[in-house]
Amino acid sequence: MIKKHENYRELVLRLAKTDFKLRYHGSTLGYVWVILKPLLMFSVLNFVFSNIFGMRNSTNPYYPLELMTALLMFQFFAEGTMAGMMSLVLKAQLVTKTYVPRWTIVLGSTINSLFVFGMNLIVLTFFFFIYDKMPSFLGIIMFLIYSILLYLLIVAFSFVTAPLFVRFRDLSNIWEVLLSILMYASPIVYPLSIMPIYAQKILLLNPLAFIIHFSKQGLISNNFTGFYNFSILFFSIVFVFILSFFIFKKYEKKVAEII
Amino acid sequence: MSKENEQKNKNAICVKNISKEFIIPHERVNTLKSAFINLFNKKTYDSFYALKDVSFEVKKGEFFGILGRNGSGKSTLLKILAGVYSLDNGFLEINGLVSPFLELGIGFNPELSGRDNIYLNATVLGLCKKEIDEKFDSIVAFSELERFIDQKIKKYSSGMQVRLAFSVAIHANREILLMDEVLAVGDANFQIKCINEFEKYKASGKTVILVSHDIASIERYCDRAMILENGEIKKIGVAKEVVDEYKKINSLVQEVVIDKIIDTNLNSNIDHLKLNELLKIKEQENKNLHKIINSKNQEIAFMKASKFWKMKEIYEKLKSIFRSKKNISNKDYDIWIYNNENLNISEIKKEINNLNYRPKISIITPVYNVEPRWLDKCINSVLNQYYENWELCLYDDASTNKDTLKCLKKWEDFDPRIKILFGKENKNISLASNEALKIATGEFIALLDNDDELSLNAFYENIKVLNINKDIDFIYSDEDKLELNGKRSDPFFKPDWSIDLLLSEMYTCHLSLYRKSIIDNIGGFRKGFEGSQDYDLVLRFIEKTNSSKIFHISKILYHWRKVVGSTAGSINAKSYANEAAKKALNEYFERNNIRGDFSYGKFKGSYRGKREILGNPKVSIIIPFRDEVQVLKNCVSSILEITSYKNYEVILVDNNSKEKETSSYLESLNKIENINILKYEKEFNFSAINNFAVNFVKSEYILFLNNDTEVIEGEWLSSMLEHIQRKEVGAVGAKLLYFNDTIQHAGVVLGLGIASHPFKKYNLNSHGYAGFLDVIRNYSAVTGACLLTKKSLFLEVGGFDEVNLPIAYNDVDFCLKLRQKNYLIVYTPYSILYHYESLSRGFDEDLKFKNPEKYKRVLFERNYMENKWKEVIEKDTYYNINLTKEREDFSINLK
Repeated sequence: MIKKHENYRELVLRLAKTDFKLRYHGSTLGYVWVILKPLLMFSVLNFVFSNIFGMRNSTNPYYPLELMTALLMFQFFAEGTMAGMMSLVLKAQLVTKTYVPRWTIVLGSTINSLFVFGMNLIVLTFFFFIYDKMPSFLGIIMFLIYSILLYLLIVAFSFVTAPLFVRFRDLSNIWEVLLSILMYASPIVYPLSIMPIYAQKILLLNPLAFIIHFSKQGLISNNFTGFYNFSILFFSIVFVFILSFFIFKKYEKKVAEII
Repeated sequence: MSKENEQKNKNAICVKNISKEFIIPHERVNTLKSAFINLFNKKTYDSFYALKDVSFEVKKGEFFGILGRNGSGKSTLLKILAGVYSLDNGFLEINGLVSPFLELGIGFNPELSGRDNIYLNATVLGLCKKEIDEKFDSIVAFSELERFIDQKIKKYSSGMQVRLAFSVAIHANREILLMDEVLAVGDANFQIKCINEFEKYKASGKTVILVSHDIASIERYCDRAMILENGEIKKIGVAKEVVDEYKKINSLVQEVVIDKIIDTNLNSNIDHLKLNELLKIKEQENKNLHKIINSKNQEIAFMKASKFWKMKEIYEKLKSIFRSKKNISNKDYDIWIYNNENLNISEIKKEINNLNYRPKISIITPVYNVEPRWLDKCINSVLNQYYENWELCLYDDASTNKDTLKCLKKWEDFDPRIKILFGKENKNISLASNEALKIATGEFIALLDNDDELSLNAFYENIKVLNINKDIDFIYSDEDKLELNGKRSDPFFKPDWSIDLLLSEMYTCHLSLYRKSIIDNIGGFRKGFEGSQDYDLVLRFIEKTNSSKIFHISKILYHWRKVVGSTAGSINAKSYANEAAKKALNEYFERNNIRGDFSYGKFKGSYRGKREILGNPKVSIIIPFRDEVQVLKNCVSSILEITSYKNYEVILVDNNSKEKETSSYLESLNKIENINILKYEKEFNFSAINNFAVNFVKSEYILFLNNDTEVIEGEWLSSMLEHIQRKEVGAVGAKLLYFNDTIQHAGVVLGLGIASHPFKKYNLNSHGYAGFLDVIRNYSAVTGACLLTKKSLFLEVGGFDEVNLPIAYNDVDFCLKLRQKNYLIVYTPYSILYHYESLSRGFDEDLKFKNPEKYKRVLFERNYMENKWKEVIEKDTYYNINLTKEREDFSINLK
């Protein structure tokens, strides 16, 4: 059969780098937007919810920290899935004009948001300094694991939707709406504890909500979920990830003809 | 078993029974809604096989061609080989990595710069960063896009994109190269490169698969080939046989392709067999170029480094591309019409009534199957002429179109001045025109095509001229074109009478007024020159008159309609006309006892009369210099090595050189027979140095050459010599290029300042306004940087003016002195040299402060010229008064 590409790592990184350049070229502030955008988002939400809705109070002094952590993770998810979904269509010229293993294109696009997330983590660290909050070691480790799981989720989602999006261009609009629903269905602007217990349980069925909630709990309140819950999450995400790859393999074949 | 394996290893590509089916839904499902609706409806779709059961093998190191018409499955096959499309069934084996180059691109991102795209695509093709870093310069150099590499791809032209893509593809160094119609795009130069690169590929045992419908390239470069038709292999085998078969299959396709080949050959003037040679020469040139730049012009190197210069270069390049496409923007032309053509009818009528001499003008119009709406307009434009003493002689050449006949009948009794004859059988344009001539009774003849129009003041302007000078035999005027919607465009503002321009292209054309007695004398039009019968007529006509009886009116008096198939629409429409024109020109040479012959010129519709050099006259090449030995060396050695005409001597005039290297170089030259060295020890005075050198010359012809020039082509000297030997010619100039292959000199136009070089910094490939860059023609002057003249004439007019014009304008002054004695100055584009003059001219204003003495001298020379040649400078006879005096690009004068 056709001999495949060997230098995957370099290829994926080059694609990610290209994406990154494309995204910020032409804007005056350029790469500053990487940090500026979540900061601005944070300022708005923080102003609304801390001051107007009074979320920040004596029972919850670290509300801004929680908001920032959750917001960053959500942004990571939203941007990653969006970019992943559209990756094949936006790189149509690479799909139709030459042979590239197509999963590298999808992966390359999501890596970009991973990079942005990484940059923002520096900002987050800074925030923790300002609020003089030192998270526990386990909290940080769990946060990193959750981040990796979140990334796997993004990639899995992208693998499934990227070839679908080639066929059904409505997906991007639908997903945008769904994302805003997801934003309020996850404990981002509010702590999970303000919900009734049964609602909490339902909300936590959403892996995104689960990841966000326990990431910030771990970092700020040193509060973790049980081993049982965690392993269900872990294995189901890994399973979905593997499954998504096979789905992708199945659907990518016809992509060049439709795109 | 092992043998089988060996066999397998020899195959680069092995394809067995592959098929590819495409489904064409009747309504494409592209949204969820339609997908949802379609769930309930029965899906209706057609399918079609792009490839059906295709099997073939390509051996390693083979150059394999795939022929086929559009839609035959070529590209699908290539995409399958590249791995872009998946297989439906069948078996595909590829040994080695594939470098695809599909649909003229390898997936560039338009928003990224050329540099980023190189990195992206080279990575896609499997190079790692280190390798790309190493190869980057070579990739860019091959694509010749050094200056644009940091510009976004979307700003590139398609040709530039292809060059870059191709360059990346070949640098990927893969075993198998898939090429889809690469040769279709790109200029000749690039095609040479491609082919050379293919050959290198082949030599290193790699495989190239070339898809094309250009059979010529398949035949020339492929070992084997196959024809695809409707997804099946029609024939596979040795390239030659396959190509023959393909020609047989579709003779129509063949014709088109051959036409294309002829076109490219004509346009590029490149014989494919000589490709390699040319490439070598080009490389040599480039080497010399770098040498020179490094050694001489630090100034340029410095400027080149600055960003501003780069930007300016790009700007100039784009500008010249733009200009060459459309010389004159139509908006400018509209303004010009508004400013120049508001006529006062009553005054004109009054003026006409006061004229003494009112000869009758006969308009000759052969009619054949013209659309009535155009014919009506044509006849109306004659009827409405301000000058009324005319007759319109229409001859219908047995039109088969009933509407045309009906229309003619309608006009039959409309006006007694309209005479209509109906021919019984179709003759041809020449004889039909002669028939019309027979019924003409006027003193002058004008030619009008049956779908064109005259300006209403056309005859009035002509008669006005005749009232000033009754002896004039031939008047021609400017013309423009009519779009189908009636809008006027593409004005052609012609120079005054230039015999050499007429021998290069039919520029007098319309509207021309000929004295009938002379036309009768030469027997009217001739059969066998159809399509160029008027060219032939003019050539024979001018022999019976002389240049003082030829007049040019700088007004637009004639409008060609761009009808499909008419010569106005496209030059390609009538290639038989070009043949006829060549024949007419050759006969002109014969009649006038000029030894030589005509070939096609550098663009379609232009011709080159190559005259034989009579005898073997000696030429003395005078080169003044002071030090700068590298520059001199380059100049002298290029003359010695390249010049094909051998009877010449080089006279080097040393003006106070001081450096050691110079003297040692001069010593080394002593051994060479045809080099003489003179010493001129007074201070620098260009005129005086040359005058001094002429005293030592014994030969008949003198060529003044600057030391910062370099010969490129062997023909340079003979191309100039063939003109200077004519007794009516006083001086000959050449086409000079800046180091970056843009125009430095192609004739001198007076009145742009004092005098300036038109088309400066135009691209070498550009033909300029009306093709003036690429035809032999007359100008008022040519530059002294490379000027060939006769010794006798030089002495007769007193040489260069060393008293008043020591540095500048002495060449222009010299040429004008020759013009005063009615000698012609000829510019020939067939003699091309580099002239490494600094690009940064025009620092005269700064000079005021930096070097006040020099500034004073420049001012003096300028004033001197202005006073001495006032009238000549005001109106250059070889430059139309309607063209601008502000720029050097022959654009319209809007004042």
